[in-house]
Amino acid sequence: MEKAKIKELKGILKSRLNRPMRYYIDTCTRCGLCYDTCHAYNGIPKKEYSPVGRAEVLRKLYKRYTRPSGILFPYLTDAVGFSDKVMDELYEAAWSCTGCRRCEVNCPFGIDTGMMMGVAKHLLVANGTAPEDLIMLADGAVEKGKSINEFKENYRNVIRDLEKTVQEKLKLPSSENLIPMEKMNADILYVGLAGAHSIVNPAVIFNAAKENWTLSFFEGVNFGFFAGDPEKANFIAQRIIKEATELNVKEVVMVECGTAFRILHSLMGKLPFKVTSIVEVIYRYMESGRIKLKDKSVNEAVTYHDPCQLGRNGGIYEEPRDILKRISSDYREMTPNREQNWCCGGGGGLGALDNEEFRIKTGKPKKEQIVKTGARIVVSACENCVTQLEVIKNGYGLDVEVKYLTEIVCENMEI
Amino acid sequence: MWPKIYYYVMVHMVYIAVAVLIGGTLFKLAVVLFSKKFNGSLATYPNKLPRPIGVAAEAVLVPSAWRKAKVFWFFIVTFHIALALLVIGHLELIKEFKIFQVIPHTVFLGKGWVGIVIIISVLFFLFRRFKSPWREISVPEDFFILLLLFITSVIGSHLHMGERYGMAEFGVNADVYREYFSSLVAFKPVIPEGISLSPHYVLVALHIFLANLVLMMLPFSKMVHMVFAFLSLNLKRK
Repeated sequence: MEKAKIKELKGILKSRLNRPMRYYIDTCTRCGLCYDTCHAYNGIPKKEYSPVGRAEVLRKLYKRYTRPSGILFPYLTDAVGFSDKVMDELYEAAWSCTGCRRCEVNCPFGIDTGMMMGVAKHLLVANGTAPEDLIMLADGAVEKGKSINEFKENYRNVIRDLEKTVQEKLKLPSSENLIPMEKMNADILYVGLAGAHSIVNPAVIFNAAKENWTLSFFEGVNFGFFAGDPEKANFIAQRIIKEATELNVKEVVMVECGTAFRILHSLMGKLPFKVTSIVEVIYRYMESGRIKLKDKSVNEAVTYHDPCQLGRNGGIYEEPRDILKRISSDYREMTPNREQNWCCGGGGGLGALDNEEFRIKTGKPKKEQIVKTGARIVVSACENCVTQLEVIKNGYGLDVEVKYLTEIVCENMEI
Repeated sequence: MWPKIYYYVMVHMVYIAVAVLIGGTLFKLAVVLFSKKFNGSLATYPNKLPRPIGVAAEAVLVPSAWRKAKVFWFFIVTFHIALALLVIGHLELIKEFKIFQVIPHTVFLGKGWVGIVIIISVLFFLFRRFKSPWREISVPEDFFILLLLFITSVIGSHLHMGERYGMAEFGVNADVYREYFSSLVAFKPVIPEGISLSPHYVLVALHIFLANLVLMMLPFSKMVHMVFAFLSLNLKRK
């Protein structure tokens, strides 16, 4: 590896040494309690896929360049410097981690391996060995943010088509203004994704609840965050913050995408508006009677997969369960669930990569959980999770139907 | 030459070790204090208890170990309780603290069992690392620290038990140690004849040498989790 590259990587390594990282680098005792808490390790039992195995690759670099023990006694601490081999190890570590943070809740010190792998991804971006697909998607999102006016007209045309679908679902005489855009002082700015389902179903729910809402021009997914590029991640998130601020909305409601929700809800600091998930909004409507769900109208067994970023990292556990218990006459829990729920294996940008075989193998704990419930319908409230659950379903030949929460709500809502 | 080395270990090195321990810990905390904060929340859910109570409960009761490995949890808890009692015991070798005499005892608390518990726990931690998958994640530092703790506590326990149960003319009792340690605290170091003329003075010096190494390593090794555990667990609830 060239000296200039090593210097650049060292600079990034040091620049990412914030307060939490200092704790995470120094505190780990390698007790191994996290070892088998990762779904990837359970699917493919290799040290590199265990949380501590992953974190150690990065920790050894930090020791080599920033810790007296690693600088003076590299053998004692197993500290290593940058090399092509280490970068390969870093790739394997970072791109097998979904950032689900199940290891963190099982770590006696609360070490966030997901954050550590964020630094690893940043190093891979600088090294030019990050997944190209994700970099391109992040670049596309940044470009859209820079020249939004060029995209607006096309997007409006797409939305007009979607309004007709919403009209059909709601059996209304006109499709006009069913998906409002650029509406000032709306109560809600809804941030969707590129797929039509992420806009149509929520639009049906908002209209049924007679909500004063508007649709964002941007998609909630943050490919900059997935790719590990903090500048792009921040730019992509700021597009939504700017739009919400300019429209003077009270609340930003995030699509069924765990990471999109977590970034705006937890990682962007204090914002001048409330950030909620569409799941919480549906629950609010249901409880206040603004929408009416058909009581126990689904007779097949239903189970719910907690998206890690909504549940473990967002605290949204009971709302989706209460919604499903209202709709379903046979709701079944996966075991374990809530904070101990197994990650499906599709988060952290892994779902956007060409790695289906890996994701089927690492989805094994989730497959076993689903099979044990005996449920016919698996519901989740995250784009990545639903996509990955489909991969698991097809990979293991499971006889289940995978649905979005908004989808099952729309199917069972009195209109 | 040996008397010089002996004096250096018993006096100079003790001061250096304590200075490195205090200075190193303060330095680490200062670096953390002046490092960039994370501008967001790293919380995981649910957080049922108020933050300080939750952090303390998680740090002290180690529920993550209880859930997954009960035998490991038992040794973690007994080791740390024994370590706390050992610190109290060593403080009592400087002077008598009335507060510690709530349970009336002669130094050390536990009649020698504390040291034995430490030795057994350390051996458990050490042998656990010989087994896969913990062997693969261990680095030389992990073995080094455990061996250091093992040898230090074996010698310390040997010195204490020998004196407590009057074996092999040990005779280096708490009063002799108090004379020695209080002179160090007063910066008027004296090595009492009770130690230097004891046939076991080499063991005392060796114990102090190894303990000095432990103290010096503490802020710069994974042993710093004694301090940082509370801070990182706090982030999880912030």
